Amino acid sequence: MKEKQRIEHIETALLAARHLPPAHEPAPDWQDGVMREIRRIAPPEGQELWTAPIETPLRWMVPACAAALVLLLGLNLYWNRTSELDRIEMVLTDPAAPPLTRALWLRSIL
Amino acid sequence: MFMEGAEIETDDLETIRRILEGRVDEFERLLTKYRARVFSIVLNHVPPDHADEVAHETFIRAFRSLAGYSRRHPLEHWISRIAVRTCCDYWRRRGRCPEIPVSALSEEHRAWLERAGDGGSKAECEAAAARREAAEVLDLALARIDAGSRAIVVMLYAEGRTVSEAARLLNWSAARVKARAHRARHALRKIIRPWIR
Repeated sequence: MKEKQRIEHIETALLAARHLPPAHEPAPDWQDGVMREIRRIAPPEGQELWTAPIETPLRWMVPACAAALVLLLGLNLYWNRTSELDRIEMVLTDPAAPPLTRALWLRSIL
Repeated sequence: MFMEGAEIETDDLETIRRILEGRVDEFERLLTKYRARVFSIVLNHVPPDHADEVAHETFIRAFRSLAGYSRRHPLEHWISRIAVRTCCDYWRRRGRCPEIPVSALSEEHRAWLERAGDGGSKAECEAAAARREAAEVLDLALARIDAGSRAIVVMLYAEGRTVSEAARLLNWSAARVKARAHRARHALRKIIRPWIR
């Protein structure tokens, strides 16, 4: 029998395997454990839960976006500066450029 | 199972209001009411010895985000969604198991693979699927696929949920669930191939 066909048969049998969830009883103090942690993380009594510190992506998204923005601005400045220096170097080292062109060019950019 | 247009229980809304006002002990009502539901989901997705820990984390997450409960869907659906997401996170933390060589499979597993590969008729397939080894081999294979695909396979095939139910539980589109199921089956075939050579 072809390998592909064998794999298909196995796959069909595997996906049809309905395994019933195993019988499980949580530990006797499981619910108490959850409630203990709830009381621990809850805001002080009388204070509404609305004001409890809730983990939100904003906590890390704001500094991450700010850092990315600063990095992009820095890269942009660096790139502009480098390309300007390249242009100056090109004008100064181009033997075909007439002296007047060089002077006017340098004056315009400096 | 999810029911389209199921109503939000007013009891739940009242309990949530009290919890949000600061009476956190009221959370125990929700815990008692929904723990069976959460365990029924968790036990399908994670090994039983980790079920308590994952169910615990589900309720802690539910408590932390209770203020953000939109009241658009019944609380049971909302908690079920958190339970599925917590199970996915459990598998993400655990990471994928390394390759399982055919020598690591037991004698019974190998015999089952041999028999299941030979049987092509519906009756033969059903008989193979009903065996204990089928679920064990499936668990071994699922340990090697990513958490999202694993959740899809468990929900669509092991639990017998519909695509729309799985989509709602994972907060995905139906198209995404179908695409992911297709990829998961492809991944399963890749895992099975070296086992039958």
